[in-house]
Amino acid sequence: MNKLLTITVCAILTLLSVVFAKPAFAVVPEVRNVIPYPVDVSTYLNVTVYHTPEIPSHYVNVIMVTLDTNSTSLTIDVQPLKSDDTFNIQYDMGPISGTPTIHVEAHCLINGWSAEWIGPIPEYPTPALLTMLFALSTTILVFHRVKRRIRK
Amino acid sequence: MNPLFSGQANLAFQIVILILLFVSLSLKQRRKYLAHGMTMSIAVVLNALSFLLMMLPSLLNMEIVKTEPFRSVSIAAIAHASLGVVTVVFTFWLVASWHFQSSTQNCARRKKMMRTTLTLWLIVLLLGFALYYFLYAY
Repeated sequence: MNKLLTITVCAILTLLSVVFAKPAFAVVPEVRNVIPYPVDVSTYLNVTVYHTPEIPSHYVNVIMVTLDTNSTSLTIDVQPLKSDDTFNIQYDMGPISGTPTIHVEAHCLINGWSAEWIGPIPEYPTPALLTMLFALSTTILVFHRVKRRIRK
Repeated sequence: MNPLFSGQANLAFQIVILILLFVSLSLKQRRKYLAHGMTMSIAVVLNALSFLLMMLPSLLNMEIVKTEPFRSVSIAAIAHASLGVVTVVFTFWLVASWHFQSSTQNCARRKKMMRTTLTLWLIVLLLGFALYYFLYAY
């Protein structure tokens, strides 16, 4: 009976020690970085996602971007992985005004949603603004030249 | 830890346990009952460690089991986990009731349970290999 008790106590202690030694084990995807860049009037996001493996039965299938309360998602297929087990996705946000904060998440077919990546989008000058600036500077230049000629 | 490496490490661990099971069975065939009991006990402890450190966190991370429980991968995972828990309980019960005695009198009475447990263990292992293939190699 004493032996049985000893073994039971040993087994319980082993199990408890194992349970409390939490392992670093995660298969859920991870949004590592989001870099915004302008293309014409649109703002694009270059989203870097960490997920391994990327195989037809187990892969990241959705990238979701939330701007204020509007969420839009992009369905993607199996992506080729880089040496650091990451891949990049280009996401078209359309025209953006101001410097809003965005939330980016990645969804794995098996393990669900990643933690949110949160960050601001910088404001890019739109072509209309650029045209106005160009027109204004040209007008000032022409005005100065005309003024000089009149003085001469 | 890289999840792919964790999966591979666990697979290797389970193959070691499978080899240990066959070694233990061969010891029983040669009537070395104490050695058979000891090797089975080691296999039980290794399996419990593998379950707690690798398989349980992996199962808890499988959201598809909660969102789509009737998909083949979810059914395989649930079957693997539930049969696995039953096997772990049976193996612990067998080892605890034997409690390292050199006499085989108590063990002979549990022959049926041992065979059932071994069959369950092998089924769970096969399901585990199938799940590994689906999650990491398919």
